[in-house]
Amino acid sequence: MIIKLLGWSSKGFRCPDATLSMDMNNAVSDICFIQMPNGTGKTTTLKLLNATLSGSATSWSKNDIQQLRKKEHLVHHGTFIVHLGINNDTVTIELNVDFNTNIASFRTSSNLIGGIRDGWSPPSQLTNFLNPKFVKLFIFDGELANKLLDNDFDEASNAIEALFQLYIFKDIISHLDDYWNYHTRDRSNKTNRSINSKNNELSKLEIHLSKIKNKHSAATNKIKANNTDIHDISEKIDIRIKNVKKYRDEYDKIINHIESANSSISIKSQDCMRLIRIPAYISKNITSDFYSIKEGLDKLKLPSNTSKQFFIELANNDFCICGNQIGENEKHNINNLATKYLSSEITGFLNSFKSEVNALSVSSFVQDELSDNINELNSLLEERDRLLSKKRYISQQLQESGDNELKELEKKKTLLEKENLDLQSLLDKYNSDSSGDPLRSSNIDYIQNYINTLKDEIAIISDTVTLKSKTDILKFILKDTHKITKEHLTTDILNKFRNRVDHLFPFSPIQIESIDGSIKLSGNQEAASVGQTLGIAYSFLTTLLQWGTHSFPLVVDSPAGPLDYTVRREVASIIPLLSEQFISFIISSERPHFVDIIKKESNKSIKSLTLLRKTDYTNKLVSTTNPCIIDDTLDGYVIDDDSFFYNFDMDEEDNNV
Amino acid sequence: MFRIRVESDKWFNKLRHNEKNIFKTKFDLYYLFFLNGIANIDKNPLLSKKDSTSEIIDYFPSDYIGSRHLIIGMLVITELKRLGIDFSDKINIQEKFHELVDPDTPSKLTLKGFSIMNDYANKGFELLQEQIKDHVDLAPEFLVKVHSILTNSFD
Repeated sequence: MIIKLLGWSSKGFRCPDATLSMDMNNAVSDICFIQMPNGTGKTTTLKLLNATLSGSATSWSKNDIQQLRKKEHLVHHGTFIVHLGINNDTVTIELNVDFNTNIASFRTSSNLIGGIRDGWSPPSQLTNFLNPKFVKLFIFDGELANKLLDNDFDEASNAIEALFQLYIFKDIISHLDDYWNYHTRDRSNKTNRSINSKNNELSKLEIHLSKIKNKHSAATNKIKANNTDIHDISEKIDIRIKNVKKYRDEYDKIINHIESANSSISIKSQDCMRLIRIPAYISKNITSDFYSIKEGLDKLKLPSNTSKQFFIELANNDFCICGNQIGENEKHNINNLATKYLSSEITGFLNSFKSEVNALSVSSFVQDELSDNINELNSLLEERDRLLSKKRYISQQLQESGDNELKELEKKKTLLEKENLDLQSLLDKYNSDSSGDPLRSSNIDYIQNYINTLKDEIAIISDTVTLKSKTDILKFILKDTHKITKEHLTTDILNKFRNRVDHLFPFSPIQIESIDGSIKLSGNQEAASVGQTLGIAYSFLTTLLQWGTHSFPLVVDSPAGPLDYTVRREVASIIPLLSEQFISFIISSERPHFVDIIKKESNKSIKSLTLLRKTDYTNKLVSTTNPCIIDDTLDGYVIDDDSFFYNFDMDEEDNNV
Repeated sequence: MFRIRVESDKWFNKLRHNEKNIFKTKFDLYYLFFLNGIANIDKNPLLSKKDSTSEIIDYFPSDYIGSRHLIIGMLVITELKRLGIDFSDKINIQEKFHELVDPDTPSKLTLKGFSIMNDYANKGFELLQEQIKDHVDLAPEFLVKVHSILTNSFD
């Protein structure tokens, strides 16, 4: 199935009203650059594309909707229409937003669904892919790139789940639970009061568990969101302080030293833990005990050369190795004496143990090695604390000298950190509190275990034991299959992904260790730079999107912005290969070493559009240059003109903003 | 199966929040709790209800393959000391090894061996909760603190 974005139109939203088409010479262009200066609404457009394709707009809050409203003109409605090509058919999804009632609704039309339908209703062959989790893989913004490498998020694993629709396993398990509940409830009508009572208790517990899980999930998500905000605020604080000439150099040094200290602390901690895993490194007394027991074993001649097995086997024979007959008395005595000997297996264990003890050093050096490493770690921690203290001091100085904005940022950051501590305490409560009435407990595992026990009891009483065991077996198989499938797929994807990354970064090799929730870089590598993060993210996503037999467009915001020219050229060389259709929002500074490389090296059809917000400057520019305007709306121009596209100037663009 | 109190999950999650390469698995925490229990030659049986413990694994992780004989050796030595069995008492030493060691299992432990090791880890965890009064969320700081507690207990 080949899916392409044919175009879209926007009216009434924050971004300029505009109709854009990817059509070029009666075919869909392979590559389309949409040049939009900063502030023209790239983020809004991406959000609308995402929400329309995935149907997620109907879950927008009042705030979400009001944020999309035009600011400069009074409008009551917004309409965003997306046209998709599915092989040779077309699907049109129309999002309508009422800014007065804060309601978002859809309308879908296609001959694949028999015409026009109210609601978000794409054809069945699309619904598996047009869900929020999958759409964000091909309507891509930089935030996802960061999250793919962020340990706090599971975006990389989620992307694999979305691509291969592994959530189907969870859906089936959920249906199995419903099936079991239906059958036991049905039977409970025919049986005695005991089952009714237990079913009532079960219902209450399931509702209670659901509420607790929702609260847990809300708290976890809030912590993650707060962490993102804290990170953003910290960056703003750093920028603000570095703008003050007096503190710039010192602050820069402190930040660099903190990063360096964090890296050293991580490495040193791992070294310490590696040594602690060998007990002899911890204390001389441990080594001394090992030597004492070994000495004892040696004196006792343990393990002996002869094992228990020898005597047991001997007792089973009729004649001894010396030739004498072994009667019943002799057998009995031999078996009794055999207990004084160790089995051959334990003999092997003891020999290994004694060898390891022999290998231990008698000197105190091994303990000193661990102690020295711990002391070094402690020093690094103290140094880092000192640097953090210095950092806070500089901020304090600036706040006291009247930088109110800095004060506000620090205050906001502190409030978010405090909120996270409170939320974490709440989450700790959900993980403890594992006794007493489960209806009063907040411990998810405890309540779930109680529910499982109750279901077992109901199954026994209502004579659905067989059904329950079959359901349980099936659920186990599904969970196991899901786990194994995901592991295998992840391994295959990882290999291809690593090759792609190696190709993209030949001069600064990046080692991808694993995909475990997020993308993990190898051991001692520090966090990737902005450019590397984007490069890694492209490599990962394109590995996924090119996996199966379907083809998806790739829509990217600012693909080259933070990349240096070398990486830009590399990314530009793979862009035409990323997907059947590539659409990119860019600003003029992304043209050099990116757009021009793609135009030069690719034989694909390339469309270059410019979308401008109407201002005094742009009005003047358009009237002066007289480009080919294909859409002239209330507040925007859509210009399909290569000459205009390539000459649109950066400095003048800043004036436009 | 190595088993650990569910309350320790909260520690594990916090300690791994910013740094996943120090305490790679729950067994790393379990091992520290075990050492603490051993160091104090005391143990506390794990609660019998399954819902207050969580399973970890039934074998030593790869980082411990090189030292598992020594770790099991520590278990045997501590039990001998706790029961007042002299290192020259051949019969009791053999019995103790037979009781705790099963080389045919992935862990080299018998069920009894697991149970007693879990008991020491449980006690070690309880003691550590009292010993670390100021809550430590960061893995490096926790490691420094635990090392200090262990060396004081053993020395």
